[in-house]
Amino acid sequence: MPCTNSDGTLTEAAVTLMSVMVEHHSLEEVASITDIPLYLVRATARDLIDTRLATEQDGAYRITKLGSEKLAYTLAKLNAG
Amino acid sequence: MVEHNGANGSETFRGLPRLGEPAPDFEAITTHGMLRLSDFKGSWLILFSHPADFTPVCTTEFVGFSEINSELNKKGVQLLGLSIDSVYSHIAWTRNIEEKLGVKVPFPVIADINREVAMKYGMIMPGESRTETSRCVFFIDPESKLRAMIYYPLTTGRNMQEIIRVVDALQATDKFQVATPANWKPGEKVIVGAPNTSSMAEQRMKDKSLEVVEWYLSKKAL
Repeated sequence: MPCTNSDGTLTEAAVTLMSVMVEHHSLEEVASITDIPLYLVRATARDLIDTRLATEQDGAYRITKLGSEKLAYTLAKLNAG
Repeated sequence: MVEHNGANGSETFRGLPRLGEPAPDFEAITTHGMLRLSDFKGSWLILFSHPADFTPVCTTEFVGFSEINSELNKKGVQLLGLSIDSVYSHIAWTRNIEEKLGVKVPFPVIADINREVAMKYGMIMPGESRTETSRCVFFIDPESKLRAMIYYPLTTGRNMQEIIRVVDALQATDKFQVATPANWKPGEKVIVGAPNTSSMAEQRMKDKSLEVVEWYLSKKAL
């Protein structure tokens, strides 16, 4: 699932997932915490990794520094709006 | 996978996938982004095709599938639609269904514009149409194995309750190692496997824990 909107902000699903991925979690844990179907979590996580917004190590996922910056930017924009 | 040439020799139509074998793999553009078969591993998947967006029977079916979606989710089943239309057509049609019929389509729909997935699953019946997928339903288990298939022609809308019934029957089979009789529904007795030796047949006839109609036909409550 694409994780970035055309204006450069993160999609709603990406914001939800990345907020959880501030800490290391498996995708099953992310799905359970966010209540987003696992198939969508997997597809979104794949896109997050492709765009270097998250990394995976031994089945655990965490957002990168770039992902952290993008999340902060999106949240600030949402709060401003 | 069996392949044969179409009548004009210009196209290749593949045979049907087989029950009990791994479901054909795919990666496809959907209304929920790029999805792969492996994204659904660990849950049941119902992959179904419809002939075309913005057509009457398909619209009634999409309403039907949307209405049973949450019941299926509770059973650990995800729905995934497919037709040979663009993702923009799917988006426009599902938005139109919500606007005109008040039903939100909650599941992703594959935009199989190049027919790649349709060909892998034998969804195109050249005798009916070379440009549309028939009304196919594939029940894929958590291990990505194809467990059941239903095919309906272009003219006949599917029965949603039968789709739920097949899920219930497959899940009962997996959980209790039983078979299910004709028209079975949850709560009804199931079939116990037939004995395969004479002595087991003899024993079966004496088994008071079962409803023994004949040595080869016995039922039990779950």
